[in-house]
Amino acid sequence: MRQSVRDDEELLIARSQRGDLQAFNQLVLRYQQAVYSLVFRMLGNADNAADVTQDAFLAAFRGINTYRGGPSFRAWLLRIGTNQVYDYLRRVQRRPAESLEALTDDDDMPSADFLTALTDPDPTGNPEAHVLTQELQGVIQQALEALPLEQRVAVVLCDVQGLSYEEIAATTETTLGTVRSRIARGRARLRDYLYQHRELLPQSYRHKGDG
Amino acid sequence: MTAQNRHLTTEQLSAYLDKALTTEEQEQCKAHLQTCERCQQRLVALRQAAALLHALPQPPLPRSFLLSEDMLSTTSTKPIMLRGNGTMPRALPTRRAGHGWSKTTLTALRSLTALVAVLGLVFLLSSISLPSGAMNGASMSTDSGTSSGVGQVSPPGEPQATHQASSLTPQYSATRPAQAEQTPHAAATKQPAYTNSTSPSTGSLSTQPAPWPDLSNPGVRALLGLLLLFLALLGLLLLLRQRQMTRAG
Repeated sequence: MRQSVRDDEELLIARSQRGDLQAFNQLVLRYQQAVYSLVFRMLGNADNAADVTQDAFLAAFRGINTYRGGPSFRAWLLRIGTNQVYDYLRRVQRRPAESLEALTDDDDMPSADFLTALTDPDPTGNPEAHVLTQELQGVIQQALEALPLEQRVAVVLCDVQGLSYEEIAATTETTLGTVRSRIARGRARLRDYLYQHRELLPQSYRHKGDG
Repeated sequence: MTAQNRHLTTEQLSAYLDKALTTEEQEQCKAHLQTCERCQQRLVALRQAAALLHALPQPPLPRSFLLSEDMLSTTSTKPIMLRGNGTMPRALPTRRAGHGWSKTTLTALRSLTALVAVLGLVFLLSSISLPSGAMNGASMSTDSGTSSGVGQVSPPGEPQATHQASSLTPQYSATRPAQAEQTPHAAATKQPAYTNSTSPSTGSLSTQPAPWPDLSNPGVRALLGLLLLFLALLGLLLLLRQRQMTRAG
């Protein structure tokens, strides 16, 4: 089953490379959620994310002949999405927030219990099954947007999109070492942000965090 | 032994979570974590941060991102090429439906506007700063030279050339006799047929209405200058409007 899906995808890509728009739209249907999620988590604004996502698929169709069957088509699309996000941010000339610059990356003692309370009310619970409230989602999104752009990209690709370090390195055109470093620093800053802004979190979480 | 006692870095812990360390590093970290509560807590904190991100739901799609032919058939400046028609992702279908002028048309209009503006300024300034006298005469000598060149091609230009030459001859003869003699002579030798048949005498020509505006008159030059400047302004407005449309599209 899985194999047939891949074969099907390769056929669709080959047809797209010959200019078949219908075939490419099949791929759009398959991956629009992934690309939009990436762009949305990077930008935090649905309207802008929609425009950038549309641009990304246009750019992908136009440049599909540059896809040479690399690690995965999904990673290739996400790379184009990432580039479109960079282009967009360059256009609006927004600088990544530097508010966390003062935080050191390694001073991470105080927040362990607090974060445990956030995600794991039941220590044996599966974090994936844990449903986040709207407020907590908002705070996490803010924390993401407060990250320097390169760390944000790495963390979103890794923890939201689930790409491997190798795929992230290819997507962002960097080395494995750089990817490793960015993900670590991004996660540490995120954790610190959530700790610093715990007053923004829902009451129930704050009580758990304090207790 | 020493490596095992040293606390792990955030990078090591983070990579440990993703099993992105070498087997040897992975084993070292594992050994250290078993003995160090502090690093265990740090690992848990990082894991929770990653888990929170992972637990984020996918944002609802605001619309479908299917491509249509319309989106593709716009003009482009981006180098990504497909099927021979280079197209730009940023371009929107509205731009194509709008008043898209080709680049050459725009360039031509731009140059023309600039040229007309310069000509207009030249005429206007010459009417202000060269009212009469020797300066006027000097500029006229070149004028007659050009218009006699025109006269070679089209007969209507001819009377004007002769007329100008004759009108400035009296002024000239006083100040620069040598040059004054030369001008009518040159005109006569260049177009013997016209001078003989169409312009009977230099004296009677001054009363004839010239088909071409009398450029020796400062007022006429000022009017012509203003007209040309007005045309240039029109061109400029047209260009600005075009640019606005392109931007809006």
